Amino acid sequence: MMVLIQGSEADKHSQLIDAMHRLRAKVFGDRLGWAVTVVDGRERDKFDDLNPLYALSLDAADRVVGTFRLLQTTGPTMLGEVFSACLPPGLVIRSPIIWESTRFCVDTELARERGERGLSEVTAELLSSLLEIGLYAGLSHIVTVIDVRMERILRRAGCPIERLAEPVKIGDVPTLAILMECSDETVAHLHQRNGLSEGFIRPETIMRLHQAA
Amino acid sequence: MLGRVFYDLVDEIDKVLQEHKGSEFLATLAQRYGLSHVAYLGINLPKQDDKEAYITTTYSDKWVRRYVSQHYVRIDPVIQVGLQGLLPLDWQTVRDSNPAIKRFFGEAGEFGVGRQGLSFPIRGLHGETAMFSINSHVSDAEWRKVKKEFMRDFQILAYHFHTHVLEEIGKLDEGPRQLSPREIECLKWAAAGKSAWETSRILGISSCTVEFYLEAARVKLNAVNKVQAVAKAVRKHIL
Repeated sequence: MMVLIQGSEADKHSQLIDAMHRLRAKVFGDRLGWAVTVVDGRERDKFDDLNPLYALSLDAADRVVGTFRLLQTTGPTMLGEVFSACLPPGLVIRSPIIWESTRFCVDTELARERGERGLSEVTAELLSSLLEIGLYAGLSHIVTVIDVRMERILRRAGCPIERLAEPVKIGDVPTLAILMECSDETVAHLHQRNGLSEGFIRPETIMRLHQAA
Repeated sequence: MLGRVFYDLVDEIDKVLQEHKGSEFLATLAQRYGLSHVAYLGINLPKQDDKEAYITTTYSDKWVRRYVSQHYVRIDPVIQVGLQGLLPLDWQTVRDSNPAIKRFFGEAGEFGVGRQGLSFPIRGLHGETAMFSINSHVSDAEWRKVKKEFMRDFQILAYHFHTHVLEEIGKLDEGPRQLSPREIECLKWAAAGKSAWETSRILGISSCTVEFYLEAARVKLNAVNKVQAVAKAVRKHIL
């Protein structure tokens, strides 16, 4: 099940938010070796202070199996401040209908508990949710920074991604900025490739987000 | 896809904005989209002297006075829930959440505020936030139909108006307005009448990427759509 949590409401969902920060530490700090700040086993950065929108994929026991974070590009973004080296020269991304997704990750162990296809199922759920949110909010594109390993995973999942520039090394990690188009077609394509019959961002998902606040 | 109204509107709203008539701009939007009212509230705008909110609406003075005197800002979910948010707030999800809020929306209706509404949170680079709200009297069924079109159009129009407000108070962060080489190429082919798909063939990139560059260029040129972006780029001798 997908749950959306507004950054300003993090206190009301402290257990889930805490689990998300631990998952991010495990994935970006331990497994991928990104240059992230981990304190007490939790990864946080300054963009968590800007009231992002968190999307969490929960399993039947309400454990956080995957997550991503969204920010509007009209405000401060990681692509603008941290990863601008990944953009083509002179490109500044600022648009009300282009949002930035960051910290996209899956708990591989929990995902595999679901079965052989668990990992790809959770990945598809997150990707679909990302595009569905974009479609709901009237967006044209989502931009995000990933490493080349994740790029392969997204392509395998049938996610229609486009490179904005060739990968550059950040630390030891070949990193790149990519683009996803939010449209009925791209969502339908993703659903079809992953055998999904319906979306994850339903009216009740939005209802819960706004009523909890 | 943008709505047809949006395209018809482009020239008109720009003229109004150039004459610095914010409320007239909102009234034009309301009329063209068949809305009851439109409202803009800017908070933490980078004004030097005071910290007052910047408010422009098409609401009646009576309703604004009532809202202020009753301190409705303390319960108004558009402010309490929506302003911190990222996703546009559909009033349907909050208007019945407790008796006080239900009464608030009921009373707002008596002052002509539509029962259906969407509020778009806006965020700027320096912590400024704003809320752009539209509302309408249509039925639930009709609302579901028009909502999708409203989303894209008003994301763009809301930010366009916000930019205008910043400009008006002399606080528009000019930022990097220079176009990148790819943005210029895409605009050039758009100016030559090529579709995104045709341009994608010419430049050897995907049409999704072409649309992306055109959108990035549109915002930098402070245009509301591609046609206007091209016109502005020509006027500035960028093309």
